[in-house]
Amino acid sequence: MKLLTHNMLSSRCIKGVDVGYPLGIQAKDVKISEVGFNNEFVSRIIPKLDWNTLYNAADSLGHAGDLPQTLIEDFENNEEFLRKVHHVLLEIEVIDGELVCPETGRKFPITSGIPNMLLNEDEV
Amino acid sequence: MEEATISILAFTKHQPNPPPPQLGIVLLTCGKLTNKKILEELELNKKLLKQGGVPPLSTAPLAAVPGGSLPNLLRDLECCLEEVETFGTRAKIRLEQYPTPAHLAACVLHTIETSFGDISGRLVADLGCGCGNLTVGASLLGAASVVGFDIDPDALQVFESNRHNDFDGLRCPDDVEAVLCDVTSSVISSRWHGVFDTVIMNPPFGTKKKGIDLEFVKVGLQLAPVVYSLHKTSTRNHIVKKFEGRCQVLAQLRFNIDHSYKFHTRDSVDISVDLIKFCKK
Repeated sequence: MKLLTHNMLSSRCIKGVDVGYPLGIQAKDVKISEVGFNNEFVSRIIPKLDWNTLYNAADSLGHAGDLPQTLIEDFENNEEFLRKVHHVLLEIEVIDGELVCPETGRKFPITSGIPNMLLNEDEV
Repeated sequence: MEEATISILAFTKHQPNPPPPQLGIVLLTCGKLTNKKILEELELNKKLLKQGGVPPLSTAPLAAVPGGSLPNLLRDLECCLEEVETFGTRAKIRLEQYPTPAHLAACVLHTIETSFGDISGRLVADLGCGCGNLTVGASLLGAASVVGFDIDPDALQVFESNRHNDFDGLRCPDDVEAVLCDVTSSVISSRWHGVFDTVIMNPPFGTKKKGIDLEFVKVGLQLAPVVYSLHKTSTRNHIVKKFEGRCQVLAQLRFNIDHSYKFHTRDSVDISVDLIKFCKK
């Protein structure tokens, strides 16, 4: 699971959960792999992301580096910054671990890089 | 998989919603049609289109076009997708799992890219991705990132091995990943609505679970402004009525289903499917 995907997932699929966002991450195995950098895509996606969620996710994995805690201005022309965001969004991958619902504490396992968001019948 | 899996049969027209001029590109991307018989059929179809009717199904398979003159990109894409591993004997009928044939997946993706520019550099979601034929294909066509969603852990296991295939050194689709979930449940935060650029999908056709096909379309339209989806041609009228003014039948294709399930009495059967583009209002 890349942090791009973590940024979009919520546990509001659980009965009684309103927001279910952001999900906590408990990582057992994290892999870094190289993915081609696309300047235009990264600068287009940044305003749509939940920046706090991205920063906190990277930080909890110990990979925030010198990523700023709040989004900087004029990032479109700052390639150095865009490359950092690219790295955090697409190159860090949680292979093994758990996602945790912030409201119920329900855990969603991540196995072979795939988060399992399936619920039991009595949770829907 | 039989060699001649599908053919671009005809370009259809729904009256209140005429196809854009780019549609011609679909024809071009599917190879120089040097075969006289095919050309004649296309002419016939064009005439019928002018009269407002739906053209008949062609019987000439695309793979029979002589000379192998498909443009490189489409041919390469199809070759790669031939390598994508699929459900095999583990397909589950309750989920209506039918792998998207390589040729069909390649044509569909290539059309979406060349006619509408909706793959390359885009953030793409594949709903009901199964083993990832469309996901991997979109990645090979240069999508910035592709996320596949599926309810079946077995299919996603195959998906994982596909994403680590390097397709003879061409490219490793590392920029794709999968989420195991019920597509119709709310696993995507509402603030991510509209964040994806494009949704592609070969959803369950709704034969086993009525209405699931359109539920997928609705979820798709929450995620992205545009959804490209395959549907049984027999459901076209229903869909066009339901999404009036928001959908466009781009092409009618032949979906070849191999003998996947015990209840199939023939080795392989063709069903007619539509490639439909859905847009937000």
